[in-house]
Amino acid sequence: MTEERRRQIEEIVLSVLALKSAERAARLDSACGHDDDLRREVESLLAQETRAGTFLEVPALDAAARVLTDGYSDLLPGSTVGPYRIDAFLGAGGMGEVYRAWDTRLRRAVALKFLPREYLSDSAALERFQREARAASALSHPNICVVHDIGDFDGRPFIAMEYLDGQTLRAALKGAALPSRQALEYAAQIADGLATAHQRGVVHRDLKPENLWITPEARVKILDFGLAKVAEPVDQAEGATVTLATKPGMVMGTVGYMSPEQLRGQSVDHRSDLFAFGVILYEMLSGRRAFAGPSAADTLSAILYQEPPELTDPGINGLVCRCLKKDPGQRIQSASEVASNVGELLAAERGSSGSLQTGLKPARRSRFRIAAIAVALAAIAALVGFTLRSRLAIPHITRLAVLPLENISNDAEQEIFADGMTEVLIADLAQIGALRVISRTSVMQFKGTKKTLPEIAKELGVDQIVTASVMKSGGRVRITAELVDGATDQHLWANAYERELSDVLTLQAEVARAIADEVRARLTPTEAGRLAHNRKVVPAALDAYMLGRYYWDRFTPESLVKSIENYEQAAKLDPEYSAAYSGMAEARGGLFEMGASSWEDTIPQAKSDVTKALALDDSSAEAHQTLGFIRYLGWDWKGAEEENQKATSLNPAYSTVYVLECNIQRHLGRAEASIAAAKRGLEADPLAMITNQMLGNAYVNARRYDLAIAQYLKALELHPKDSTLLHHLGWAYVYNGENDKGLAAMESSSELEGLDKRLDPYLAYIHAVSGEKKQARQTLSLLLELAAKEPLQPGLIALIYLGLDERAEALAWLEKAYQQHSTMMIWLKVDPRFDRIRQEPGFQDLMRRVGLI
Amino acid sequence: MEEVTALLQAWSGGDQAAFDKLAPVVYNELRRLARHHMARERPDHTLQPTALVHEAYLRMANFQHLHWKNRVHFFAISSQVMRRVLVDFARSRERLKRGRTPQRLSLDECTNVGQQHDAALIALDDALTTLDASDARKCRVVEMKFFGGLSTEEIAESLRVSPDTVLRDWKLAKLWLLRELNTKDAR
Repeated sequence: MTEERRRQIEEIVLSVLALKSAERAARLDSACGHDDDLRREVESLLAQETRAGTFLEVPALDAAARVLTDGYSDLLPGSTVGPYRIDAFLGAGGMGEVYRAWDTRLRRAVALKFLPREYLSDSAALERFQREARAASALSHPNICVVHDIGDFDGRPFIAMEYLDGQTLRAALKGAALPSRQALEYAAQIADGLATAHQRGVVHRDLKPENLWITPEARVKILDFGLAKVAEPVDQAEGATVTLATKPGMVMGTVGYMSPEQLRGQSVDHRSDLFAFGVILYEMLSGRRAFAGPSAADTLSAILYQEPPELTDPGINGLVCRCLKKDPGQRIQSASEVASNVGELLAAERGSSGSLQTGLKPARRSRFRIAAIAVALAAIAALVGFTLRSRLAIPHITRLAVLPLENISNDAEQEIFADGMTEVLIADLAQIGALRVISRTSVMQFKGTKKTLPEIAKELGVDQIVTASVMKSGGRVRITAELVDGATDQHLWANAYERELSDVLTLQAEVARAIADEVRARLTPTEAGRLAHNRKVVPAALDAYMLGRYYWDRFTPESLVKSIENYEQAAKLDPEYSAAYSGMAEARGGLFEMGASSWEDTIPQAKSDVTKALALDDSSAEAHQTLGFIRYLGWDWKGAEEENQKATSLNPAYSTVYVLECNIQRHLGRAEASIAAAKRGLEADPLAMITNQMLGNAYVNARRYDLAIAQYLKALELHPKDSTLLHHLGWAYVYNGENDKGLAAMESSSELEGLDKRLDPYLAYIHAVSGEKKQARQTLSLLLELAAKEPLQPGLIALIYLGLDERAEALAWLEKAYQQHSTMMIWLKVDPRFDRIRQEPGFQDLMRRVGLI
Repeated sequence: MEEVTALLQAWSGGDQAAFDKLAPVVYNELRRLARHHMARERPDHTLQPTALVHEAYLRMANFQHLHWKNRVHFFAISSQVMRRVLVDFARSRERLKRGRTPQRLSLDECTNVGQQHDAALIALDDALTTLDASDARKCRVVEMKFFGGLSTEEIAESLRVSPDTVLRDWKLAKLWLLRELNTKDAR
């Protein structure tokens, strides 16, 4: 269709729309003539007119805003809730969402109020809600909003109330005072409504201008009777003591109208409503809140300890003062007394010709303000606890655990991808200084766990938990993350993210940033920058990398070889994949460390891999840690420490950095530093075998064998039958002079590993030092025979000679070990097994050559 | 924030690529603010979307260096962002409905009703896309009015046309969209 044609159609449509229906046909005839196409077009548009009235007229903006915030469900116009048909969304407040609806049975407009679901998490709360709502529905008074019905929709309880035109008192006030006569007229109605409710034993507990509705006829209707009680924690509500809502925002929102006894958590009765009434009356007359401060703490302090500036009319001021007495015993005692008081004031007001002066006298500052704030702060802290920390800007470090991302595809192969994603998310979050994030190995133990989140939070010692799921399909990846409060299991936040697979790192950074925002962890510019710059990945390379991680975790000679193969594949697919290079370097180092490969076969290549990794990404904690590790294996103590420190500052949650730090320090003989590093490692990774083992090792080198034994036993509770832990426990017993226990632990370790006891050099050493030299010599000769045929760690043979106290032989074998770059050289300075040989000149020379002295 | 100003200027000068850069920034800011308001900062918990957009603007743009026109452009952008937000949300929910519903999906959890509305919103979005191709200005008018909650005057300012033109566009666009939606329905 041409532009011209379109204009023509539009002109005709507009001109016809402007006419009355009787005149339209003629106009159509004359405008379209014999052009049937034109006429069809015009008529098809005109046919929509009847529907066009309300179409799109209500902006979707507020729906969009609610989508932006998640968590707020939207009932959309036209949907039905039981007998009610939703007409419009009216608003959302602390007590839930309100909709205008049509009662199709009784053919009348109603307001439906849905309570926020977090208040109604269990059946007890639901019951309480229904009880309170029924009590409120029994109240029949012109100044109390009628509750028609209590219902439940999809598990969400709602109340159907009288639908009212008008506005809240808050809106009517517009931040200014009302004419005094009007204020008193409203006050009289409020007092009347309260008197009726109180006579029936129903206390409002949350009276405030937001809960007072003013109809166009100037009638006041009190809303939400009894609902405040529903919002209380179960135990407190049942005991009818504390009236603070569980939701922190709500506490803050209504705090200005709460009575001192409410704030103190003391028992609350109808006199709390009278206090709130006094605050409202004061505000209607003065346009100012009786108690207000720049912060919640100031407001609390004012309620507890200050008197508001006096109102100029002595009569009104007297009534307000009696309502605002801090001690409920001294307060005016009943709503009916208030009502008759207001009635008298109103009569005087109506009688007087001029208007009353209700302005404020000059303000009187309290001398006690500062002291009062301190007391109020203590009160708040006791009442609402953690939520206030961020409000009061007290620096706070959140401890966080990311549970293994759940693979929600049906594809079991995506399990490894999900685990890899868990690691990336942990690493991203760990870069944020204001967070303490639990390392991967500890959280991985909760994969598929049946434990509840609070149980897990307690076990890991964290404040909050991130649970998430991941799904990869058709080149896209979607992550859904949730943040849950560890203590209360309360759902704090959730969101879903989706991107191209190649943008998966950016996606993860987004999730991390959102979580940081949610726990109010402040990002430094550097941290924000690091999260903002994420490279694209090649999906197949990512898969290969994840597989590499998976095999690295198993940490056996065979799995490390597979791990290297996969990392190499990843690097081949994506030659700029830094993490793949540092991964292969680390795996090569691991092969050397466990004695499965020679120095020559692993370390030179590892060095070049890690150099490449760092050239590609100098901000990778893993790469710096790996370089540190390789330097450590090469006895470059200072260089190792430097690199490891860089890694630590880049990712403080990467527990491997503390393992290396502990190793460096303990072998250098710095006992305190090594214990401290081990403890930091445990903090970051409380359940991992390696971090638990390291603290034991640090104690051994500090010669605190009792502590070491206790630590290994504790670790064995977490990891029963772990052969490495049993091995180390054995040594701790031996050093502590408990050779029998030591042998038993060591033998069960060998058994678990399937080692031939006759060939076990460690057992031989223990036999030798406990006087059973014959047994030791048997092992020694077998090993010597073996060493003639195949490569064997010379250090192990040196160890048996040491046990036999044949120092020259021991030194000779140690020299061979040195030539092979053996990791045993690392032990020389502190290890108790070398105590008897340490002063020998040959040994001193060896220590010097490995940089230990 | 300087960047936002520059992007706004580029976009109002006709640079469409600038919108793609702006949209996520605006989205994030709107989202942050909305959450901030809804969550716990504000005592009264009421969320006024228009105020939200205004506040987002104030926070993001260096107000002193921008005049009225930039503000209008910003609102126009937020309208498009809002459209994307709503429609993406509706689409993802539709997808969930079709596929296997993951157990722990927040979107699904917090909105188990209103799915009919999702379909309507998606249909509207499709119709708008068609309209955009034939008559872009009308599409903008609908976006700004319906998704952005802008006044006729603000829209006029943003599109550099008279308020009367905006009203005419609005009227015609609604008829056009209704016809489009109804014929789609019938097919």
